[in-house]
Amino acid sequence: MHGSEKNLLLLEPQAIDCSGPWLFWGGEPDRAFLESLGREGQIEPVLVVRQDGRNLLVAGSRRVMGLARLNLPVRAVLADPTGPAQLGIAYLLSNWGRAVDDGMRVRALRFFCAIDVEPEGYDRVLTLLGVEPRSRQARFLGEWLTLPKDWDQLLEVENIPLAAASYLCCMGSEERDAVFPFFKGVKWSRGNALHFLTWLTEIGKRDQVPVDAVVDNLALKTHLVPELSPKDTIFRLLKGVRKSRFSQLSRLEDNFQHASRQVLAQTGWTVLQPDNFETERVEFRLTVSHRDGLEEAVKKLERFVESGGADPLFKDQST
Amino acid sequence: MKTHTATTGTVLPAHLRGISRVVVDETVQSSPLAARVRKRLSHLDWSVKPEGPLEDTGETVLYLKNYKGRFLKPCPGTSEYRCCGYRIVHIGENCPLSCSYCILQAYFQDRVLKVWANQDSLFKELETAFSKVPGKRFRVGTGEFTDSLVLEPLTGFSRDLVAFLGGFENVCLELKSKVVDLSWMDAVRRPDRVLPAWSMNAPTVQNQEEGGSATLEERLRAAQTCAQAGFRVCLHFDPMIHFPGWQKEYARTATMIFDHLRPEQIAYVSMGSFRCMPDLKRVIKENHPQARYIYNEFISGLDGKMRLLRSLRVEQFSFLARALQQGGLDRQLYLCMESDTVWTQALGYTPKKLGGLARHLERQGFGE
Repeated sequence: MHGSEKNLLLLEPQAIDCSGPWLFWGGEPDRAFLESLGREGQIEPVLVVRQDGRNLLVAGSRRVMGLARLNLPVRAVLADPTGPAQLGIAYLLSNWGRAVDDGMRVRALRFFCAIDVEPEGYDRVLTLLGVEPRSRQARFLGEWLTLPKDWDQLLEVENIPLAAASYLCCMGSEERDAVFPFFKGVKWSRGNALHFLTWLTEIGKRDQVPVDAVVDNLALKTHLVPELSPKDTIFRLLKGVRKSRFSQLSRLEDNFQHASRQVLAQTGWTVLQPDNFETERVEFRLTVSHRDGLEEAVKKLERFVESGGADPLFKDQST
Repeated sequence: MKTHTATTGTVLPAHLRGISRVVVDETVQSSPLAARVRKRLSHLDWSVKPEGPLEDTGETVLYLKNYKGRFLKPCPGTSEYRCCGYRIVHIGENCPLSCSYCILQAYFQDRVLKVWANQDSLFKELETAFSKVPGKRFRVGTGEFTDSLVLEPLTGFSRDLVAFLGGFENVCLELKSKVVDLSWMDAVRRPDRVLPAWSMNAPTVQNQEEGGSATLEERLRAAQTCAQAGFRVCLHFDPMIHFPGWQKEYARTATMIFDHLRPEQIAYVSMGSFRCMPDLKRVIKENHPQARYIYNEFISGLDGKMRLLRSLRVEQFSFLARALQQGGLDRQLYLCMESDTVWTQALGYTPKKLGGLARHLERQGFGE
């Protein structure tokens, strides 16, 4: 697909068909781009092929749209007609160096999968998308492509990380449908999203019930209410699922937290259990800015310990 | 056509029938062990190769190797938990059984069953070590990187080892297994220096998670045969698994033990909870999707391994300890890789009270 001087064309924007499915990442031109086009003119020609009497755009949709708005003709290079895979690859090559996220990668890969690109061609596409073909990211992308397309929009707006595909692709459609609402309106960090899905899946396997039943049993959808901020929603969802996944540990943590709140309230010392109750250690922390503050805090703690106030921290930690 | 019958006329145990061929390093092809294996597996393809790595073809290959490393190693304990001080006699690697929880799945990436065929080197190293300091005692075993007896019908390795160690009264050898093979017994000169040992578990765990192994009944009958022949035996509840109904199941096993053995016939009994490096969880998920115990409440222990939450471990240890104590066991009980806190909560004392775990087990092993 080469262009040369004799293939340079000047076309009206309306004469260019911009509907090709290989134009993965086209978007509206922003104001800065339009100003630049108006001031500097079109520096780089767009790429077109002529098929069935139409000029099909291969790459450069933002330029075409921008020039249309400015009522300016489009300088284009006419390439030789070719198949959809080559058109897609030409688009990726012309966008080489552009910052690409996982949502954009999935959009491009959906196109290549739909046209049954050969395995070697698929690896080449991955490379053009900045992904090492044998990497974990490539595996996640492969898993994501097995999901229904509805999920793509959640990836594109970064509500869910690509790595979630490993969990979602092992779920049945009813299970996936049950977790979809939790990601629809809330942006999850990678760690939180993976914990949420891991614990849901593991509860299901432990109890031998599908994930949708876990969602129902834990009444998780009750946390999806407009009154809650996204942060609070995620906090409550994670807490609910973790409490079921680690019920004994959660109970120990709750008891310890209750006791540690008393210590903080009465002495100013923060108390932590440092190792998931693997030992009976308790960590006391204090921040002071002067010597008097330290002496006072130590005296308060002494009085508190003497009165037996600290006993619950050490009592029955593991039972 | 391949058969399951070795040339000696005996039918191979089911767990050995999956071996597809034998490969031997050219430097040990004439060793007594290689000759024995060749005779017993004459129905399989036999190939000789120069020393060096063996290509993984995904098959279960028996590889008779000229091993160049150390044969006597310390048990890889960690400092945060009490180690029993056992020393490993390294005779080979990997196992044809398919226990879902087995750490060897993570240690070794292939299915190659490696046996060190240069036994002369092994015996030489052991002789040097065991003769070096007069009076120094060694409690050793072969069941760390493989099952002590699982390849015995082919290699006769344990039989050779007990015969060799008959000359060292300062060495006590433990043969730890999940199968039944007693072909080594008549080569033992001092039954008080050999400890046949079997892994114990809840019957459901044996049935569902220890693929290819002998039943608990078979193991205990073998232990009984050994005890009747003058051996003291060891039993290992490791890993104990937490699952719904575990109390009834472990109590059942405790009862079975005392149906077959008297307390004085048991040198020691270990209890250890399932623990593993985090990556083993992934391997278990892939290789044994039926295994549900990996979804228990595990936390990251002080050694970085996944461990069941302490309260749950203590509950299980206390329960089993009580059941075994009711049968007459006392100081034979010990915990494998646990902290003093857990010892105190489960057994009421720490290894210090026993004079240190390694010394205590040494005394138990040597029958004092």
